[in-house]
Amino acid sequence: MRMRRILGTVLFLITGILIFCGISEVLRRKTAEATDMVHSFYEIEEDTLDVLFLGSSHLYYGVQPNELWRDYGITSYVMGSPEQTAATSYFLLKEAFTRQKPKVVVMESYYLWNSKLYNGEARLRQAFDGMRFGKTKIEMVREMLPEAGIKEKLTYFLPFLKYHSRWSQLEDYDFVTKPFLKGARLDYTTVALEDPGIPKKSTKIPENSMKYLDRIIQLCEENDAEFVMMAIPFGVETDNRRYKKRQGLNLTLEEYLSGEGIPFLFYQRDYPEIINFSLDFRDKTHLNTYGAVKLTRHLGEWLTEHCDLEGHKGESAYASWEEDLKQYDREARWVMENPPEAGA
Amino acid sequence: MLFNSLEFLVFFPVVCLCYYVIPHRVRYLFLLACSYFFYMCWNPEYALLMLTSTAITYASGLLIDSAEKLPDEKKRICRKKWYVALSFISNLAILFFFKYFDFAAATAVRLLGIVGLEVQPPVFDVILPVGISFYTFQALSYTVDVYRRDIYAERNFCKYALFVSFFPQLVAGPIERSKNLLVQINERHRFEFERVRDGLLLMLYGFFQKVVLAEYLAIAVNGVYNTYTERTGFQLLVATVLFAFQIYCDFGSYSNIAIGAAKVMGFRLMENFNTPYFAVSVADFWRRWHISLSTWFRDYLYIPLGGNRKGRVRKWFNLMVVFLVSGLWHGANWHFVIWGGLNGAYQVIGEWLRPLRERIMRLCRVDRHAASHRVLQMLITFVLVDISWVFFRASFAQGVEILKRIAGLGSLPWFTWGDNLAVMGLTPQTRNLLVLSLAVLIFADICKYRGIRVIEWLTHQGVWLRWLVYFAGIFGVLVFGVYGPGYNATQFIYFQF
Repeated sequence: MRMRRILGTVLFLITGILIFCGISEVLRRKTAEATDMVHSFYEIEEDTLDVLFLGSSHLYYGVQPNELWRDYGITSYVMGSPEQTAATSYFLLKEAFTRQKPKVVVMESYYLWNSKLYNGEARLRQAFDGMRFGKTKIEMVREMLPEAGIKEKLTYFLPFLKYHSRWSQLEDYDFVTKPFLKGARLDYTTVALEDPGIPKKSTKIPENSMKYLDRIIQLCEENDAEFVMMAIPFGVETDNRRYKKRQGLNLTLEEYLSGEGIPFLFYQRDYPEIINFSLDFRDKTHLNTYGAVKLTRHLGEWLTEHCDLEGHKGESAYASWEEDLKQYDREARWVMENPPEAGA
Repeated sequence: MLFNSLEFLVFFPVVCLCYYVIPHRVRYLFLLACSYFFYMCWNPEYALLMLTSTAITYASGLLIDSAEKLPDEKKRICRKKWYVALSFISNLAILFFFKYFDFAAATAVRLLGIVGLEVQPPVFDVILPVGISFYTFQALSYTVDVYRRDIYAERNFCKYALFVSFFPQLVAGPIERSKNLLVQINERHRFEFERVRDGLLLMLYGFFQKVVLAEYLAIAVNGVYNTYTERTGFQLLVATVLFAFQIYCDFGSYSNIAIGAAKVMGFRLMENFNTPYFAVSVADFWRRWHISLSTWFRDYLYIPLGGNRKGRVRKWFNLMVVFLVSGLWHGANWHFVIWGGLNGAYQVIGEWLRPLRERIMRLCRVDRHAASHRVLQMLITFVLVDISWVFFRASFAQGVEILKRIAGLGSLPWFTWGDNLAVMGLTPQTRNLLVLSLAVLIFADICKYRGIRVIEWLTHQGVWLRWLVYFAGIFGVLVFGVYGPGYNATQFIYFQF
């Protein structure tokens, strides 16, 4: 009788924990809706990734891993999150290395302008809620939230505590996410812009960004991954001064990277023929999927040429990538035929 | 430490685990330390206040006991009475200072102002110690119980201190009696699966009442009451009915969690709420509502005042005294006194009109035992009690205005087809949740009223149904409850009393 009770209690607790994990997963606020960036990363089979992308919204609107697979057979993932700071990228990369051994890590430069460790609680959560509990997460919480109380820290390990009241706002994508998008977003909205050109004056990179950029470079070295940086084109969002300041940062970056021997793809200046400002933007600063496809094609070409990457097309271990590509095509068609309502 | 806090969620299991692991002879010391820790999480300094009350009543017990040995009966009784009086005066003085001083000073200033005297009372910046009304009453009951020889005088100070500070019921009741709780401290509690399970289920139900029902009801009620001048009679009526449930869930939840928590550790606390809204008269309501307080007033105030042994008028007077004091016990404000007075008046008037009521019933040939008659009685009782709750929630002037509007005497139309839900701060989803939760509450109370023990029934069902209900309960509370970051856990209403 006693044994039965103990067994029953243990079984009850295990069932309870499983249900809790399930409910917690549904209630967790998904980053970028169904794309669910950081979380979907875990669905890729271990040690199958060639390229890992890091960066902010400019990145996840500007690169489509499925196109890299279609044209070059390269496997890649967009480890993006909104307003991703260098510190955020560092911890996401660290986590990525625990599951994958990417040969190349490509980081998008735009958000280096921000001097903070993270830009507000929501952005931090959007990057880390999807990350599994483990060493990296503990380190991240310790470093990013040194002042936070134990209860607040706990909400990063148990996002349920933060999101349980979302029960009344659940959407379809809370139940079904789309890992086949590999972290990228689809958007065929078109906004015509003019290329504002590249400023002459360079801008200083904030201290925090530099500190974590160095740590990222070091981490890549330790993990035998080649580190590449790129700057995806963007237009003037609010005023020229701000634009110049943020674009000017790429000039400083270029100088720094060349000293380190790190390649830098400055698209807006060095490959102006790729992006058409009147067709390839979804808003003033983000590429639409037409632009993303063009940029990704060039990127694939560059990567195969410079980084000694081989395609995996036809390999049985990569069959799921072919399946995901079909789903991606279906999804892309659907998104194209059902554009978001104005203002959405 | 609040029951509905993360701290308690860690504190309680750790305490229980240790409690069953450590040897019996030191368990009371461990529980005492835990209880003081529980209290000191709120304000460490005020634990001294509780310690003072404990010391005074402990000493009173020993002194009364020593007086028992005096050979002269007259002297003996006189001495004992003195000790009781000293214990009451000193404890009530502390309670008065910390809870009623500002109120009394403000009242005195107003009264003197009427006769043209302007005075500036001294200002003491004190905050109300959590649970002071509860543990003071509990400690005082011990003095009287020893005096009445209902309980032995406890010689072990720590055991007695645990009786006063026992953490499950420390800050919001039930107000225990020494003859029930003190004797249990010596009992050897073993880990019994069924008892622990039943205790946990009761706690779970308490949490459901608090974090789901009471919290959402509070949103709805506050939404209307905080802007009552802009609300229609209909909205105020709904909010007033909901407030009756809010306050029931608030108070009831705390008692259920307390009783459940104590049960897990092997202690039996008294029942505090017994389906109060099924009462068929206001007197009946008070036999079902906050029973530990009502019986405290009955045993230690109403009966000493003469109870119903000294004629009708004296009985009515005693009743009014008890309910006015009870009102004041709930809060240092006149609207609580009015609330108490109203409840006393209902009963006095009810008794006064009894011959008339009986005559009407005879004339109308009403069968007292008919279900329809009972339902009518319940309904009338609910209306009367709910009217009094208006003064519990709002000040006198506000309460009168709210009742006027409900009665259709306000300046606004009584009902409009506006978005009544949004006014209450509810969405269609939260409204549905509220309706469903209220249905669960009412169902549970109907079962209890009819003598069906739901928990007992459930534990005899097949494993699939048991687990289904357990998990539905646990995850219902976890998901739908109002708690956690971004939310300031509203303190249990009873804390400030």
